[in-house]
Amino acid sequence: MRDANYQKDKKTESGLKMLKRSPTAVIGLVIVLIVIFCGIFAPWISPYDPIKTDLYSRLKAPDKDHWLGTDKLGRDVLSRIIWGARVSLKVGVISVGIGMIIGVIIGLIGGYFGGITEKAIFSLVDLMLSVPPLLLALAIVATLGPGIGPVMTAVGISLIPIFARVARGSVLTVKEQNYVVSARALGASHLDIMLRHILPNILTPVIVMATLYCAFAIIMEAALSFLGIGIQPPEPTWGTILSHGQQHMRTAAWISTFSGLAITITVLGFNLLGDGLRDLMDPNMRHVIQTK
Amino acid sequence: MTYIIKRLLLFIPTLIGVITLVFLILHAIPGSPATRVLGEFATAESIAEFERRLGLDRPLIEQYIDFVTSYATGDFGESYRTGEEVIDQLALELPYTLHLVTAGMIIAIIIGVGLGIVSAIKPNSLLDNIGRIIALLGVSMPVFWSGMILIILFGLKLGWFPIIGAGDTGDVPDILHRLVLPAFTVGFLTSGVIMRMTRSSMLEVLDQDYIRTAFSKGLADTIVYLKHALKNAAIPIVTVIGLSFGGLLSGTVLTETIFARHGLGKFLVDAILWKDYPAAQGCIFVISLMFLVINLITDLIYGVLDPRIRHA
Repeated sequence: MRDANYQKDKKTESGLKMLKRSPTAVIGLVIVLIVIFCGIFAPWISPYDPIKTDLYSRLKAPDKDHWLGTDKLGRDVLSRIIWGARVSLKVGVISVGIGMIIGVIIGLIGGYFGGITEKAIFSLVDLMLSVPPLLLALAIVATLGPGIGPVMTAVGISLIPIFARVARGSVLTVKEQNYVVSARALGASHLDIMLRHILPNILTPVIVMATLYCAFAIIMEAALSFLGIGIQPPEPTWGTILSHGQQHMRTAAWISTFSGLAITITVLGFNLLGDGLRDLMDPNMRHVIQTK
Repeated sequence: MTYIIKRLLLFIPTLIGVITLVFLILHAIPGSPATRVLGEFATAESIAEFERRLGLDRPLIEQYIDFVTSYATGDFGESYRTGEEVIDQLALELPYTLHLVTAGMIIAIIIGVGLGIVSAIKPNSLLDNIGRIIALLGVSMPVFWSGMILIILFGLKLGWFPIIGAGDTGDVPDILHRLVLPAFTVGFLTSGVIMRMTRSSMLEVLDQDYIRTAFSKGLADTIVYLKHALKNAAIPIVTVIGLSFGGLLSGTVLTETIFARHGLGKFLVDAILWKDYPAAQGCIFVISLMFLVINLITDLIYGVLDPRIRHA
């Protein structure tokens, strides 16, 4: 027990130490935590109601009442951006969840069984990869119609082939390891081997990918909403705020500037965190970081 | 030669696959496309008439075979909205998109490879850090926002470039003038990925013995960097350039909308907003076809760059 605790302490300590060695990952983590905080506590921290119109204060430049100005219906831009974090995170997490769960299952089955199963599954995966992701998402939203559900489904589906490939790649390495071979020799069932022996050992690259693709999903949602085929008004999302801001670029540049900045900073946060995690988890890169 | 033939033969099933995917877009989900186009209050007669006119009342497999054969012969059907042949409309839009994609990629390669080499020559220097920050911004800034910032700065404030439209056909200086901002918008988006790959690939190569030998025998730095290092670092760079065309094409869809330019992207978004399925399907097919052709070219370039692949 003591030994286990010692191991655990050692692991946490080295984790923190390594995080310290990668300041960009820490910056990414802080940004992501701030966005999560905004998303969760939006009703309490946003100064105004994000969809309440106030025609007396239309298109007001940033001042002490409205820190980031107001839009054409007099709605507070800061409040809309804070609420927008909620939508972005929801879409990011759920669509990456959809892509990750289905992708990993497909990758696990294909990689583990190999042969004709793998060929059949991965010819479909490669086919999905032959259409650029935004186009695939556009096509799916075109058939399902606009709204948050279709957007999450569309982005999630367009992520499936990416996760499936990453998962398969890791499965191919892990399934040749001695512990998997011994489990098979001991008579463990396929399901048991896949879930208990392989899955836990392929999660690291999958989690790194999930962090990086959260950024991708957030940009995709914003793009679809920006084009007017994603989430519909009055729901405040960064994409729709930006799209409305585009109509007032000449007179009220702050609307598009700040909403775009919110997307950029959030995406930057996820990218930094994902890159940092990848470097920390890859033993070769860890060596590079430590010797810097 | 066998490598090229093998790769070309692989192109055919992928093409049929993409046509199938485009077919499924309209048919895979429950409910008739007629209801989606005509709205939920459409009468049963008008739905039946719509389906009969477009052949949607036939068995699915028959529709599928018909769809594949017409796509194979370049017949993409008629647009619901205008009644014109989709292929004719796409042919009008295609040149604008090709201009933007080509110009964007040239800019992305110049910025990406250039910054990547400079960063790799002096790692962890000020220049390297600036390059890495630019690359990070490139991958993190949504293209529809960076486009808008360029419009506000160089179009509205400074008035250097026109901000709307793609120009008239034939007036080359005007077309080029109008291409600058959109091309930088899509180019910047892609340059980040190319820069990162160039940097890491060059760093790996610069560590090799033959580079040290090249330096010690007194060759000029430029020759070592460009001829010895870059050529050997090229395969992953070419791969990432090929792969980033997908992002570039997606970026083009958005950029055309921001700059209100003619092109496949704007055409596609309008088709989706108008529920003009044949137009949307044709457009998705053509953009995917561009992507497939680019991937094919990338694979063929590998063969040229690395004889081991050619002879494998």
